[in-house]
Amino acid sequence: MSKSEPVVWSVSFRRERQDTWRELEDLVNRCERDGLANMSADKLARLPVLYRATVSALGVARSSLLDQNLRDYLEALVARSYLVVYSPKRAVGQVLREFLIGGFAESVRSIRWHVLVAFLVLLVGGAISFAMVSNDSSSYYMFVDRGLAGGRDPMATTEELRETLFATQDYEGLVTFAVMLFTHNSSVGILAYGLGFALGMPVLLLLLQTGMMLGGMTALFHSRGLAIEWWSWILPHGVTELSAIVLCGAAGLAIGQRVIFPGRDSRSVAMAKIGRSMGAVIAGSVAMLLVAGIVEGIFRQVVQSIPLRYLLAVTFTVLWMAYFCMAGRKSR
Amino acid sequence: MDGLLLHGGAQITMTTAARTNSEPEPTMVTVRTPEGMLLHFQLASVSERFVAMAIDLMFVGLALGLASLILSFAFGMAMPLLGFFFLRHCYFLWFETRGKGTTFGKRRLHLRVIRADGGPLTMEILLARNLTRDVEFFVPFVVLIAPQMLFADHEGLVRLAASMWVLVPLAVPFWHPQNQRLGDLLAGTQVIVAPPVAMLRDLADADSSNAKNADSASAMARFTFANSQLEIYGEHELKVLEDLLRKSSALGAKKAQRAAAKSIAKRIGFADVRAIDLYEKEFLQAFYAAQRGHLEQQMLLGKRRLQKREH
Repeated sequence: MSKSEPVVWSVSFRRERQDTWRELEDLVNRCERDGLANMSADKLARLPVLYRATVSALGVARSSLLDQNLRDYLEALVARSYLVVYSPKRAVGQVLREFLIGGFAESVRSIRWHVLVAFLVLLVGGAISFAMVSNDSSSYYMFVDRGLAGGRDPMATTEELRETLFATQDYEGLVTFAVMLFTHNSSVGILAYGLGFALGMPVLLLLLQTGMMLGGMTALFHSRGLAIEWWSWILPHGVTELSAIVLCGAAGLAIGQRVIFPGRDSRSVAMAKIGRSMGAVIAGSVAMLLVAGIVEGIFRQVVQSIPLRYLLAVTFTVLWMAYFCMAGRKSR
Repeated sequence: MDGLLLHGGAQITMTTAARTNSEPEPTMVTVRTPEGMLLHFQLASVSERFVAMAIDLMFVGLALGLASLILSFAFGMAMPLLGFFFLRHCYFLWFETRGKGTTFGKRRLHLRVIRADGGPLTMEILLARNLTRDVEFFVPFVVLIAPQMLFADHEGLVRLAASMWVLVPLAVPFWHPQNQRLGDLLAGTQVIVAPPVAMLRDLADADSSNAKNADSASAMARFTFANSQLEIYGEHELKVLEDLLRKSSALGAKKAQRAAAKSIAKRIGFADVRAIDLYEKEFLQAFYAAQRGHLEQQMLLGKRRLQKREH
């Protein structure tokens, strides 16, 4: 059937272009369903061409077409194609690699003062409870939760206390314990991110509490002359674990600071900026806690020699320091 | 029957005006593409987002139940714990990354995460918006259904006060003018609703119309309009007419079309009333095509008429 000559100008406008729009629609449907990675090269090459043609058609439609359905169709199609065309093309593996090589360390360096403050708060908490428990061992329960203490309390004999530092459990118990600690610590770290929104106050409390728990236990073991054994027990994983907790706390503090003092940006822009980079810090900290969990649950139970345990702690300290100070720096 | 064409007129005119002036509406988010085109997205409501999340959480719950059932035989408590942690935190991150800002639940409701400034969504942005789910949903949820789990050591007023405090993040999207939740604020994202629109046939195109039999085609050809007859109605009436023609299969559409045809014929002074009685739909289509052609031509010349001319 031969096409009749249209009376209306917009009819021929649409006739000439609707195949382009349909092709784009089909392509966008596929991209949304299967992802860009599964598209053939010639189809992918068509995408920007079709997209630009449709964008310009939308411009015309807005200014000089009165077919409401067509206008709505083009609006929706351009909106969807825009999101497909300008979506990031980086693969997940690449993102993770870049993150581990330098992105994480860079984000941490950007909040180095917050890290320092968070670390000091942890130390202050530890010092307070250390002093109090050293004076009066009954104040121990103010700082250490009975459930978490696991037999490490002032009622225990020195021999029992020593045993908690060198006990070997069965394999399943080990794994369960490591997993519990990992999920607990990570959840707390992730909470610190969200709670940064509340001006950072809950984060300070969290750091103080962690410090106090640690200080209380330290005081108990010091009072029984088990100082060397205690530190050999806590440090191999504690170096990693406490660093991660301090980093999460620092991230929460940085968010809280931006909420209060957005600086030159509007508050919403400032929050989005800090939120994005602190998300990276939290993700990295969760990875650190995973490392700590493995060390805590497996290595520490297997390695019973005290010098070896200290060696492990020193190694981790050096590794983390080197990583955070150097990774991702541009070489001159 | 002018009443039909006037129905809802004021409201529709306002949105038309807003769109032409590209003023931001409170429930719209406007994004400028690199081509310089302003795109308007409709923001999703809190209820739509909640339903989408409920659908997603159903999947998470199902996967979790199955996984822990199988894994608990092999590894005791450890694996279900680990599975719960990773599923809770990674489900949304993983699927939003894979699906360019959508998950199963979001897709069902045509929802999508976009950056508030229109830029590309990166993984770190999606991470930032999903790290807050504990604070915003899971912890308040526990407080709502079983506060004794979270505040075991406290009772009565203390527990109540603590619970209120924990519920605050849950309420953020209700306060926020653009329904952003805490995670959206920290990631700079917004959730929009974008239902797909199908391209329907061109009502002004005689070839694509339903003028399949020669009878109605020749009837349409008989309806011609003088310029003076096309100077009366405006863009709004054209839109109402388009809706009326597109809904011609709806209940009572026939009657409404007949009434509209009569009222238009009377208003523009169309002489051949007998032909309208026989072919009211063809008359409306012919008038729509002629009117649209006329208004579009005027638009090209920079003259727009949004509303019909008063007497």
